[in-house]
Amino acid sequence: MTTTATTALHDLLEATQDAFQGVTGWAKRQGLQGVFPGLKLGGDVVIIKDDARVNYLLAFPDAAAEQVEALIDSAIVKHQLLLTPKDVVLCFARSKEGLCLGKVVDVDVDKGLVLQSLGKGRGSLHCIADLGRVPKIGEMLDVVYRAGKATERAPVSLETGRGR
Amino acid sequence: MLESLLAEVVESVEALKSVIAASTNPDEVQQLQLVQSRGLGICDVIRAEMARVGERDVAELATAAGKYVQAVSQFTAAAEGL
Repeated sequence: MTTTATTALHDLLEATQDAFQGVTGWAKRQGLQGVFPGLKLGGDVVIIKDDARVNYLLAFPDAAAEQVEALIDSAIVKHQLLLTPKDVVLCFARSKEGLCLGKVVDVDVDKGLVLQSLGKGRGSLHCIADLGRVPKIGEMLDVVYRAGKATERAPVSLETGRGR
Repeated sequence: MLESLLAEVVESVEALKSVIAASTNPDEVQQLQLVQSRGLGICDVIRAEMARVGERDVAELATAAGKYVQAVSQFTAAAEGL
């Protein structure tokens, strides 16, 4: 890439980032959605409250919303989770450190998604691409999101209290 | 208004597709795909607003979408000239 092209691309990235934030900020003020920069699925993620269905709709830029919703619904039924799609969405809305610790309850390789139970009726959804590996159902997953990047932390040994 | 706004953003996203197809640089492709996904995100928000019943205040959405369209337009024009 030439310097000119690199500069043009950089400008484009900067400009559209502002535009997208403007959109999400607008939607947030409308009470429609929350933005969760730690979670990526083909780009930034928007969660929109769908008034007509009195439910939360996961609206992904790659139009995978229905797939994601279906994954959550099926996992809830399959694993008899005390978890509703709304709880899952609310979990995404957390604004603290972005820590996600809990058992993997479903993995969908085709859709590239991992559903994790965080306990107390909450769950979290991760992209396999962000994790860099395919976790197994039932295993403990400890993920932290920082600056939009997912990092899987080393498990802590119960015997030694140390990571591996 | 929202319909035309949506059409403009869709057009910008489509314009990026040809730039991506012509690119041989994986990093550039990845970044352009991110920009593309942002555009699709804007489309989702516009569609959600179109489906919404009740009072609408879309001025800020229009500004954000317009900014996106303008940025992509400038980039694609520059890319054609390179």
